[in-house]
Parts: sequence; C-alpha cells; structure tokens
Amino acid sequence: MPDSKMVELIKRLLASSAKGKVDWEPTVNEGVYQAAFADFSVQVRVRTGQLSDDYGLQIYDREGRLMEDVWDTDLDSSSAGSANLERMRALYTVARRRALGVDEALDKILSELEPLVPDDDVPF
Amino acid sequence: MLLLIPPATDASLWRQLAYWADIASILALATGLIGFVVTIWNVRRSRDAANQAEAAAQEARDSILTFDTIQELSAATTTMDEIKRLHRAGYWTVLPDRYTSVRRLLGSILAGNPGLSDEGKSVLVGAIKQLGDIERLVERGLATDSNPGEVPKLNEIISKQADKLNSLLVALRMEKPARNTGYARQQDGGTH
Repeated sequence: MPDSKMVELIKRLLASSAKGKVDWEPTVNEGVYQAAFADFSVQVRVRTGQLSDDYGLQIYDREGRLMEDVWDTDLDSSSAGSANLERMRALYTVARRRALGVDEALDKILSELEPLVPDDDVPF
Repeated sequence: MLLLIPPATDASLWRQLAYWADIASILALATGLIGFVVTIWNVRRSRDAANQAEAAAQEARDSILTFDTIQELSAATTTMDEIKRLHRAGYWTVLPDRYTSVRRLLGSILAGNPGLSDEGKSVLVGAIKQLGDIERLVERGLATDSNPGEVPKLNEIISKQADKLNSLLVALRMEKPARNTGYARQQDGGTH
C-alpha cells in the first residue's frame, strides 16, 4: 500500500476513533487493541524501545491473515518530520482508552464526586 | 372471382358492399386491438405471477439461510462456552482444534451471508481474528512447553466475543434488523 494511503487511513481512523465511531477492543496480546470492519480488522500496538516507543498498525483480512504491517518509523522515514509518530501515538492512545473503557470510568468517577464550586480552594 | 364482382352499373350494390367492407374492417381492427390489449394484460399478469413466485422462492431461500445461520451461530457460541470450561480445566492440547472449529463456523457464516449488515460482518471478522490470536498464543505455549496464557483474560475475551455473536443471533432471529440495519450501533452506542 502506498504510504499516502496508509497515512490517510491512519488520519481517518484517528478522527473516527476520537468521535467514538470505532469499536476498539483489547486482545489477548498485552498492549494490542483491535477494531473490526466488514471485511478487515486492524490492530494497533506499541513497541517499547530504549530511546523511544514505536507505534504499529496491522491490517488483517477476514480470515485473520496479515496483509499490511506498518510502523511510524516506516512512514516518517519517507516523509518529513515526525508527524506520523504523533498521529500513531494519538491513535494508539485513543484506541487503548476506548478498548479499556477509560472515558466511561472517568465519567462514572466524576459523577460520584462533588462538582467544583468557585469558592473551592484548589491549590493548583 | 369474377362472379363475386357485381356489375359495374349497379352503383347502389357497390356502395352497400363498400359499406359492409368498411364495417368489417373496423370490426377487424377493433377485434385486433381488443386482442392486443388482452394479450398485453395476460403477459403482465403472467409476469406479476412469475415475480411473485420468484419473490416467494427468494423468501424461502432467505428463511432457510437464516435458519442455517442461526444454527451455526448457536453452535459457535456453545463451542465458545466449552472453550472457556476447557481453559479453566487446563486442557490446552485439545483447545486448538476447538478454536479452529469456531473460526471455520464463523467463516462459513460470513461467506454464506453476503447480505449481512456491515456491523454483523464486523462482529464475525473481529471474533475470527481474536480466536486466531488466542489459538496462536496457545500453540506457542504448547510448542515451548510453557503456560499458554492467563485464563481469566482469555475467558474475558471469549465471553465478549460470544456476547457479540449472541446479539447477532438475536438480531438474526428478528431477521430483517440483522440484514438491513445496524444492530451493533444500537447495541454498542454508536460504534462503526
């Protein structure tokens, strides 16, 4: 797949995921999250390095066979800057939050706490 | 032939013959038109009947397909329950066959139901991939003689997939919603 299409896919996945329109779920592999579509599934994962973390996106066909495996380092080496690292990190973060239900958990906790009022002395 | 032609001098007879000939022509034309209309009407009626028969046959085929799909989905979720029990009991060596069996069933449902909604297909595709990943993990564990995985985590994933398949099963039992509308959207609050 040409890099431009992959970058476009990452951008759209990120945008749809941020709007809560992609159903991410945990997988049996730690730190790997999956979203399924009508004919394909995608997974995002992080590879922890000594200097920095790398973020990967894999595309699988309907039988679960790997079709494409791309990392931010592949994309950024062929385009300027580290924009794809930022995009893929953001995608991974939103996928993890959706898969683990972090937003729902925050909403629930917040609903159980008293709301702040202007007179509350918050020292930060 | 010559006998039929009246004498040229008898003008009134000629006029009468011409009159009756005109009447006959008009009657023939009218009969032809009526016949044509009746034929068209019959053709349309036959076509409607054929269409109705085809629609009834298609409906019957869809019903059989839906019934088969429901049976296969039920079999898949039953096997998934069995997989969870085998996880708990630690019968790892028999598990890869069970994962394969469920994946094949789900693949068969996917291939046999091209009219399924995208949401329905995504449930099947997601479950196939999750089961494939679990199968690979267990196979790796068996090959290296190590612990194949954390049972609670494995069973949590299997349960979630089984729940999704069960929702698809319920939607299929209602038939139309599964094929034409996004059941997953209703179920998961706006995913996909």
